[in-house]
Amino acid sequence: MTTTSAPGPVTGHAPEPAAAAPRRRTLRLLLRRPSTVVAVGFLLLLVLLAVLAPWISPHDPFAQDLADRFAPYSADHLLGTDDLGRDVASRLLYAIKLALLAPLISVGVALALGVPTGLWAGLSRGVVDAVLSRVADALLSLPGLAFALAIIAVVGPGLANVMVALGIVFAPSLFRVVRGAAMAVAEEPFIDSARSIGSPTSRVLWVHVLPNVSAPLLVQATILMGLALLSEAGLSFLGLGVQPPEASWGSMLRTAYENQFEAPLSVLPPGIAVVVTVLAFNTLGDAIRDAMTARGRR
Amino acid sequence: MTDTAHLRRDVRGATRDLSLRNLVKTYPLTRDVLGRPRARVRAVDGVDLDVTAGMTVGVVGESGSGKSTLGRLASLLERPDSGAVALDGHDTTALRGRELAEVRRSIQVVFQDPFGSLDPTKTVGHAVAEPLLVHRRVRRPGMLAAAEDLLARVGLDPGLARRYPEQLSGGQRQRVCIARALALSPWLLVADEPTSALDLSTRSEILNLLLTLQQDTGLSILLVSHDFATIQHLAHRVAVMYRGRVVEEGPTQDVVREPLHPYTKALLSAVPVPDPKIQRTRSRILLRGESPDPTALPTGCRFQSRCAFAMPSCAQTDPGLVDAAPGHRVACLLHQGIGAGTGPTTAAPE
Amino acid sequence: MRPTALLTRLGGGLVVLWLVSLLTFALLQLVPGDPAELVAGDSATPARVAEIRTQLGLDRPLVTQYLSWLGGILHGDLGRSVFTGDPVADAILRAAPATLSITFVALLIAVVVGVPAGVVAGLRRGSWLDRAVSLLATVGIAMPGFWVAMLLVLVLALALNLLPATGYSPLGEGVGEWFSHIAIPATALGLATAAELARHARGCVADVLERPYIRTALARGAGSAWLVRHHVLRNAAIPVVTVLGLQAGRLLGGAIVIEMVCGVDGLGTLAINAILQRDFPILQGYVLLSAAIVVVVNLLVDGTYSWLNPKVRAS
Repeated sequence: MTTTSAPGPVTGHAPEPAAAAPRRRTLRLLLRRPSTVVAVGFLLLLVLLAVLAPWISPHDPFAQDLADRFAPYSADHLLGTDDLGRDVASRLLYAIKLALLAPLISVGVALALGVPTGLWAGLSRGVVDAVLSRVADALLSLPGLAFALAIIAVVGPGLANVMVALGIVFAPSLFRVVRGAAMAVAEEPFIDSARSIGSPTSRVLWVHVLPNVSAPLLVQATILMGLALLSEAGLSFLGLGVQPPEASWGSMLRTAYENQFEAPLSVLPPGIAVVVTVLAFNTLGDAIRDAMTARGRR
Repeated sequence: MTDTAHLRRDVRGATRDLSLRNLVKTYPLTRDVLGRPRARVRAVDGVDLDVTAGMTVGVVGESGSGKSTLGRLASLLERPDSGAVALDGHDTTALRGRELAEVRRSIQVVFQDPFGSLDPTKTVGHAVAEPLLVHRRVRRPGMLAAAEDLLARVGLDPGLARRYPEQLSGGQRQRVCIARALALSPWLLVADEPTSALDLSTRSEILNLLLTLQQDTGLSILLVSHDFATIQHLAHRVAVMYRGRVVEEGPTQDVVREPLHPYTKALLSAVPVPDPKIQRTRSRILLRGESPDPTALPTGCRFQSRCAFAMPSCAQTDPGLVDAAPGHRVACLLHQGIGAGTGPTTAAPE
Repeated sequence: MRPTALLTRLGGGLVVLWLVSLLTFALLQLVPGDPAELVAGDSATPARVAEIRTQLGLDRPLVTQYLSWLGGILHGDLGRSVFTGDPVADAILRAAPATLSITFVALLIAVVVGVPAGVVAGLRRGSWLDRAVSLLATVGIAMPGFWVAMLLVLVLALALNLLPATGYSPLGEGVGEWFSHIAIPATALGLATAAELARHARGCVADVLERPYIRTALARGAGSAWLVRHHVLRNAAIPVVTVLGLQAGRLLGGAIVIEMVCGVDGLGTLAINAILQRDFPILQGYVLLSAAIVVVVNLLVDGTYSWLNPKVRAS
């Protein structure tokens, strides 16, 4: 590149002193509230526990001991045993993996379905947009769990099917968020600018539109994580999700329900686990949204 | 196929002129229930214009004159309804996809709004070197170095490459946009009101940067502006647009010294003159009347309702551009067939 | 709302319902393998499979199948259960009162508890009351409704013996019996919605209080009772009503699992059994009915919205 005799560096227009990159500033805004730090810390702890479960679990989660059914809380069995004499604490610990994977995968499926269609509808408008939006409206008018049931009826029960079904159920709401945001971004001059340098449409979509709709997308996805965990628990409770002897918090609640006369307290551990984890997802989602609006208001 | 292959070779080599021929672009104004356009605005309505190497051509007019649409057509961001956008004699209006991307390399754009034309999620370095990445002139590891080089060319601190657009001032951003436009070494820069969003002191910096770049590299510039002073500062030739048409076109000096079209005179009379004595004695030609309904243009001259010199024949004949002096064309019945220099006496004292 | 706007809304609702009918119809076609064999089960004789095929009309072209199915629905004929042979409409009518009772009372509880709590919290932002409401609402949204139902059954029914643990008693057999049976499921179901409403009401009230004309009124010395009655409630009502529309689907979905916990033979139980027995006509009927309820509720919400908001009414 040849350097021309351009005027010297401009120093008269120094930007505001906040020199931190916007991304880092958003992160700082995000972690300003103690509740967010607690939520993030808890989710990280869950990841750690899920990974370490085989080594730190006090018992084999599948080992039955019919002589020791419904054992009360003790030093050996921290949370007692279930109807087959299995250690509840160990099963709870092993189920963390599913409690994290199920939301991740179902929201992942929803993203894979909702994001490309939303970008497409938002940018092309016209007939494509009209058709896709109507279909999304129709899907959103179905009660989420009923829609999931209908899909499971077709593909059959099982954890994988539940995750895919929930992904399909969540896709329309992500579609709406992405479509709306993409419509706004498409009007921005920097999209024209990207086209004017000869970027192919696919690059414009993925490199310029997608990152600019990622804020509302991230908020919605995080909130859906909590909803996914709740839905998975419900479906596993109905016996449509995880199949025995695998355990999820939902299926453990089913066991507790079936034995509520013998061991009423066994309702508590898996239920509390679900509530606290959903709480963490929702707190994170709220915090991201507040951080985004605070940034936008600047 | 042979046609475009030829064109691509030209683009890589030396494209030297852009000619716009009889361009027409309309936009739907209202739509009926089924989404079909009910009425259309003729934003650009039969425009011929040439830009040759090393030249700055100014397009001036008030808002709604179609000057920005002309800029978008020239920069291949919009396709005309009819007419040709020809590079070295080869029409580009039919090109799509990869071929269009190839041709776009030689024509780059600087947009009006330096705040909206940079992607807020990308660093300045990415913005500047992205054209090189898209056209595989540079790989990702080399992006930062290339960006720093380009930033230095437009007089910015290369260290800004790691910053985000929101951390820059308006003038800095517009320099970034210019650096981005220069990345592919285009022969033509289309600048649509590049300074109207900036404060006064920054404006002249940006205009001087464009001037320097052109003098040093022989870049051609198509400068779109509502401000005759800006055009005067930079442009070799100027085209005055009114309601989708070019009403006067010629060397800037000639047009400024001796404007022929009543509309040009009105525009020029609004430009302040540096000498206060002259400025005080000058009278402004105020445009009278309303701008006509954009969907229903009158028969005859489209400026007649606001023209101080309107004649009965103006209501019948729509004047075309004719040579009034060498290289100086005007579309006004006062000059049709009469020849140069016999226009109406100017209201302003010379 | 102007008649044309109303018609547009109605038309939009009908289009959505039509799309839902297409999706519901497609449900059976999407099942891998021969739907007739699937419905008949593994042990069915070929004759039984053929019988079911004719019964479901599976031997006809798809478009004909769809049109006759749709025509039947428009006449109130949702087909017959492949399992019991009963008309689907009858099965749904038998199950609907229990589910509708539970969802309606849940909605009522949600509004009666959630809205005042949210309004009070919004009016006294930063107070301990506000913090308590916000905390309860946040936790309430995170709780699975069926788990709440299990806890309520354990405490109120099994431990304290205050309410029956399972079952449903029709309204015709006495309001007291009816209410004692649905109190637990309705409370469990309404909790999340109450929490959602409280959060929204709080946000809306806080928002209204920030508006310049309210600040002016306060500066002039307007009393807070006057303020609440004349400005805050009406302004806050609009988004709250909108949230109610959004919650209709969630309530119907949530009822499925809660019915199971409380041993109520409602629509949810019907749907679950239909899935386990692969009784597709029943499932189709259930999905269609749920969608129709959500669409109708949202049309009502739109109507209420324009009644609450003079700006929409006038335009």
